[in-house]
Amino acid sequence: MKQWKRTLCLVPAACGMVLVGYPNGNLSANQSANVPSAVNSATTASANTVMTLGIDNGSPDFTENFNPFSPNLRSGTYFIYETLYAINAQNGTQTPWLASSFKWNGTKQLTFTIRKGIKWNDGKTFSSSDVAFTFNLLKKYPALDTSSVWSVLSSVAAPNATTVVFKFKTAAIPIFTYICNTPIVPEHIWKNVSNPVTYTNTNPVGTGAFKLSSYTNTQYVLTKNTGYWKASKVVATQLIFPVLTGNDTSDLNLASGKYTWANLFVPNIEKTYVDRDKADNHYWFAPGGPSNLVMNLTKAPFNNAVFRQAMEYAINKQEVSAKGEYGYQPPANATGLMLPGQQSWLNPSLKNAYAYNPKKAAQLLASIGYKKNSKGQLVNKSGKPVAFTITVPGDYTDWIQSCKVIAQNLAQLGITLNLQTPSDTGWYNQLQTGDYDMSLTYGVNYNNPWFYYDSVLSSANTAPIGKAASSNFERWKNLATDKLLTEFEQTTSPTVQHKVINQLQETMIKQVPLIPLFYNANWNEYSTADFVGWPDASNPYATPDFLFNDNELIMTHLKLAH
Amino acid sequence: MRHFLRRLIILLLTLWTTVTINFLIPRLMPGNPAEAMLAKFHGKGPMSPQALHSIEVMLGISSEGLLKQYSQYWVNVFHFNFGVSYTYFPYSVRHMIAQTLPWTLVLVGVTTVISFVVGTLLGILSAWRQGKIFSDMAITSLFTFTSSFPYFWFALLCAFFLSYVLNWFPLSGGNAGNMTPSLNFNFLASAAYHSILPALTILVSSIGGWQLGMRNNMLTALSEDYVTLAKARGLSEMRIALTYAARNAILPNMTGFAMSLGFIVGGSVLTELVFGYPGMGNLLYVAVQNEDFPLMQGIFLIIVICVVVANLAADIVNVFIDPRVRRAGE
Repeated sequence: MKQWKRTLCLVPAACGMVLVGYPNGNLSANQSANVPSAVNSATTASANTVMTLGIDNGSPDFTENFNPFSPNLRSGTYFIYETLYAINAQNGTQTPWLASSFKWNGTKQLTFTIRKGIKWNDGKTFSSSDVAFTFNLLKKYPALDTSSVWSVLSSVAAPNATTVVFKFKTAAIPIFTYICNTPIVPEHIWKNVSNPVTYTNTNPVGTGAFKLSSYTNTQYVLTKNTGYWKASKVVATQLIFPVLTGNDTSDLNLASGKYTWANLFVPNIEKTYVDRDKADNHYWFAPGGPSNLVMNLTKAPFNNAVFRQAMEYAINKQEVSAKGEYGYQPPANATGLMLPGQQSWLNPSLKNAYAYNPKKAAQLLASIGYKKNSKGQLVNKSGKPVAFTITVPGDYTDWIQSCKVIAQNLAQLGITLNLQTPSDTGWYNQLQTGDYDMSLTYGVNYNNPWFYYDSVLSSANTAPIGKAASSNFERWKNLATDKLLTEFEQTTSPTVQHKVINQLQETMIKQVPLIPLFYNANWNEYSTADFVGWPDASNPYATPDFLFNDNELIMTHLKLAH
Repeated sequence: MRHFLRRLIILLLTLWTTVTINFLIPRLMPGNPAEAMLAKFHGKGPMSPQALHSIEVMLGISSEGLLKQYSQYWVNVFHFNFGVSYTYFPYSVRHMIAQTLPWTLVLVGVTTVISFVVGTLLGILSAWRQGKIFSDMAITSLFTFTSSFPYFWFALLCAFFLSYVLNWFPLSGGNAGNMTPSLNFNFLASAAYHSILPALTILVSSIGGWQLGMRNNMLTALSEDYVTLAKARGLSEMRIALTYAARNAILPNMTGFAMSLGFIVGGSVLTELVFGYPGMGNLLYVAVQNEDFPLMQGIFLIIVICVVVANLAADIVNVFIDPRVRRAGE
């Protein structure tokens, strides 16, 4: 999602010069390494059903890995394996997938009914025992269990061919999302795998709409699985994944129309992509969880809620988004909810809290004893000028720009903000151990606001200064907050859930434990020349983040343009 | 003989030092490799706090004593086993190096040899015909120019005009998309076609160094008394130029050449980045960028071994072409 940040600082000249400087450049079909020659041979006379996807980055070439649990898997894997439910990360809509329904018995037992008539792409029948096997595989190999479902599960069993029963040690309703995002693998193959953690699964057998037909280190091809249980809804017959070796060349290929669908960061996208073919070239950067400004709450002046409120008023998020983030990542709501998808969770009385207002910020600071001295510096009660440091990774060029905007905003109040740009590891280490004043972080967001609040506000995810915190880096520790988060975890009632999220939003607004700045964008460009029905802002039926579920949702929604 | 023995001992000492430093540096760095990997995954986007634990389990970081790790490290070095690359998990460092080394050896190796041979010959020519319009003035000015402009800029210009605008060469990659590396004609032709532009840019930017160096050395040699004597004896021009002047003048260039042979395995980082070439330079860049210590250690060790061995080879060659070195050792 953020891979372009690194590449940007690597070849600033390349993108700028090549894309901006040469409007009429064109690539011939046989000319680029990234463009397959198979495209034309496979097309039918009437309509092109072959897609070329600019989504898989090599470094610089691919390594062969179709293990759906591996952190370094090939993106094509997401088109091969499926999950129990498809959950739309934008608004939480649940679509039954390998399971046709689910039911909670109390809060500690979850039962899925598994669909009949689904086959693995090697012809064997898929059943509930594959689901139970998959989850027990995660139990046996904790390295595969990236969502730690076994921290709350006690057993997973398949009493009959269409039923899977999950039993819980502790009530943890939101874990449903993690269970639903777990790719299901075939028992008849994986039971013979000696080490599933290092297994590269070069001959992947899944239930998905596509199967692997050829692989090289520079390009692989998936073809439609004709036995797919929703085969009639899938119009694409072939997916080609050329290797992306760098943003500059990939951007050139995108500009010349080589990709049907891509997830590239492109500077000035209207000019470099959309204007080339206004009828067919489109983009929708679906919002993700917010990037946050975190303040070290164990230090003065950040331990004062009024000071934090003043910060919330002082920062011009619109300007940060426009100048720091190319206008691609819209300003975030102060509650941290991912809008517009999570509109239904929004506390109506808080929706407009904290519009940019430097005067109000100055008043708040004055109310807790801060004054300006003769040099225009803001000084605290003991007369010391207020100055602190913001720490962001040196290769995240957009974050650095955003920090400069924030520094200008704070300078208006007389606060000096110094910028520190260590390496990625250095920055992350400082966040973990609490060795910083201010910093920027990514926000987690899945299908409901609990995931965000739990990761940034739960005391279980923090640690004392000097010890590694996992995601609550600002070190918010509050019994009432913890109680609310637990309450949400233990209820299936939407009324109670909404009540809890309402109260957590109030905490965000009144206490300002952290400041949501802007929503991370999911880079997503697509052409409607051959395929129509892509998710967009008016019909966000899936998040184009190229992960499990979303791909299958999109592939079963697309129609041929002609 | 004593000369070689002394050289060999120095070589072994160098190797021991570098392997030890190679072992120590990542372990003296603040933080551990797992943290580097966590930062890398964090940087890719939101991830659940729980996922961090599974990565730690996956990597299996050693918590044994330093001394035990050190002895184990030596065993691994002899087996060329540097463990699993963090970036390319689950592939091993050995696998990644085996996959990328041939690309670099061919591209950088061939261009280094061509560049040295052509540059040195042109240097001899320019010095012998000092002051002539074409064979000295034009060549020397051109090479002063080509060796002084920034490589990165030149490579980008080439990629932009020759690949993007004129479509003469591929923009990036080592071979066309749908091919597996093998020794068949189609693949080799595709690989050769993809290597022309990177090779061209390396040649243009490196040839000047050899030419200028050789020309200067040669000019010094030409003013020596033995050249005057050879001329007085009426020896042929060619013989004076090559066996008298050039043989003496080439010694510093020879050492430089041996050094650059050693550095071939390190690849050419800038070239490989600009052209997305799947070689060692790119691998090294990826390793450094991701703080992939096992991969870095593997690459550095190979570079060190090759440079040290190349130095030894240069010493041996010097002994053969320069009797003075031989005698100094005795």
